Amino acid sequence: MILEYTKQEKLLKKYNLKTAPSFFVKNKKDALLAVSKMGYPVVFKIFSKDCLHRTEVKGVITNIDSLKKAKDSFDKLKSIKGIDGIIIQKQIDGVEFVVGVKKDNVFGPVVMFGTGGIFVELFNDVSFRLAPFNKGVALSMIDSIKGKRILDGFRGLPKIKKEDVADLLVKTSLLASREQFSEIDFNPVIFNEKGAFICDIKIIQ
Amino acid sequence: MNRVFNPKSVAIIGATDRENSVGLGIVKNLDNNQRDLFFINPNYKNLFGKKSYSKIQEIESDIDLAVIAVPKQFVEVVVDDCIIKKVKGVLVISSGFAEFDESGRELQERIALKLKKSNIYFIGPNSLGIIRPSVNLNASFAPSNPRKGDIALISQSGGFIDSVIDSHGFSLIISVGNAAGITLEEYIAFADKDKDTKVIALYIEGVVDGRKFFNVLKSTKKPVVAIKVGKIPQSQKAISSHTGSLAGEYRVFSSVLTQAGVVEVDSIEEMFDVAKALAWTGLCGRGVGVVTNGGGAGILMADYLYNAGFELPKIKKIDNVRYAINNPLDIMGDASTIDYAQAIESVISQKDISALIIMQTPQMMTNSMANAKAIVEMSKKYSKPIITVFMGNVSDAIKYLEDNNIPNYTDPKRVIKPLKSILKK
Repeated sequence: MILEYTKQEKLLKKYNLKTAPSFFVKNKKDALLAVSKMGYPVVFKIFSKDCLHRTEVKGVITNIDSLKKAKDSFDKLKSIKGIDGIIIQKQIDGVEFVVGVKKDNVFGPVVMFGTGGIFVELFNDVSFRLAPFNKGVALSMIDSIKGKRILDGFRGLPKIKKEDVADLLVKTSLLASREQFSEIDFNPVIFNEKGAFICDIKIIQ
Repeated sequence: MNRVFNPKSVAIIGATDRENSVGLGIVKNLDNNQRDLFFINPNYKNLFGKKSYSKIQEIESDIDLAVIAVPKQFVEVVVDDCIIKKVKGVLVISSGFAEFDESGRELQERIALKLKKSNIYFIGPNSLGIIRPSVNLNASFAPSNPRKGDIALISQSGGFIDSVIDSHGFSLIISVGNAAGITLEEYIAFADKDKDTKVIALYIEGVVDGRKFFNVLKSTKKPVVAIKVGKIPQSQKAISSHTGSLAGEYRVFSSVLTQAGVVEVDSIEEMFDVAKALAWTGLCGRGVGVVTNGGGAGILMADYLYNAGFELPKIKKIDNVRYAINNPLDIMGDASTIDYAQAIESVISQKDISALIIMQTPQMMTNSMANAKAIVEMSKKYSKPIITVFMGNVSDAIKYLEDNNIPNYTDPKRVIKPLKSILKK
């Protein structure tokens, strides 16, 4: 089962892991208030402790850039069965990576980094390191995936500081080695010139 | 532990002269007049012209190592005898323990505990044995005696050892068996301290304590090369995240090896290809020079180097009008030993070249042995790594090169993995 939304957020805060600005709401009024605070464009997504892959239940709507779209999107998501609430999140541009953690039976906590998004398993471009680790290890982890060229500003994409990525990996490795869970997915983590933003958190107990 | 790996006295419990027996194999391997041997077998009065004891306690002098090769059901009794005798170490060859069934596991744990309480080193059970050519010790039933060398092979399979024992020189061979006493990690640490070992080669099926394994590998001063087998994914319990589905057992294992600075290989050939480069040459950078007497072979080598991210710096002037100055430097099919020596000297002394690959295709005018000798001379003059690719049926020249610690590969493709493994990080 996935850890409750507020507990997930709290845990990330404890390790200084930066998430995309988000609000967790249960009714339309709060949703629209959140939107007005953040400004367009925004993303709406359902949160359910039992739902592991929300795109499969059409639980994510991106590019919401008007009040009408916001209202319609809320209604659409609200009608999905078994949800705990809706996450209203600032839409962030950049390139998508994945950061994850698994407690391996033999080796204990292992951090994963790779090219992300919904195609992560298809591209299979990921690397692993035992947690916890330092910045040097994090940099070698970045260097060992093919997608590292994306970070250099491949074909007009924003150029990303490897230090930002390494910093996120080191912090994740600390969380991984100190907390109780079975698996963690941060997918996607969006990187741009401003830094790294965890846009989706899934901490499985 | 050193005493157990260089015992003054060895007792073979289960010694026998029965043909095709493990007991006879061990006696044959151990019997080289290097140390005091005692035979224990209650069914004999004499063995190989010496007294056969019925119990180890009957021996008057101290015993450093007791090798046990009796059926499983008698192992515990003779281990008890060894404890009374206060031997330094026990090597259990016998099988039928944790690798076999649950009762075997219980027996193994009971024996391990007893020996631990008595401060006696415990190798095995289910081990082929230990071999240390540098001190002429072969306490195993391996099919032959390996020659002296600088590779320490630590293996979770005895058969793997048997299959490579004649092909390379070794400083140490340890069949860890079920590792109920001395652990895999302790053997690795031991090999790291062994003065005759220059590289550690591991054959791994699985490990018990992943962190211990990682930590010892990270702390070794000597290079380590490893082959991990059992890569077929096991049916995993429900996995709910992307990370979980991507982090397969082998994949994590492989990353751990990388993180610990171990060179992972995926064939036996590659294991020893890499091991000899790590043992014999220093580190290199990306700039590589190639000297060849065969144009095609040189281009093939250059392609592999390019694909692997190595560079072929331009060769500066060489005083020779016979051939064009390129890298690979093709000194032509009729190259003499003097041509080789001149080309090697010019290329290797160039600053931006950090390693040299010397290729030889056997042609009518080629004198392989003279070339090999010239290369060995040159290798003593320069500290940069020299790797040879002597192709074709020139085994004497290749043996000469390798006896002088110059790794040779008969196919240019095989150069790449070893070369990568000696690349400065």
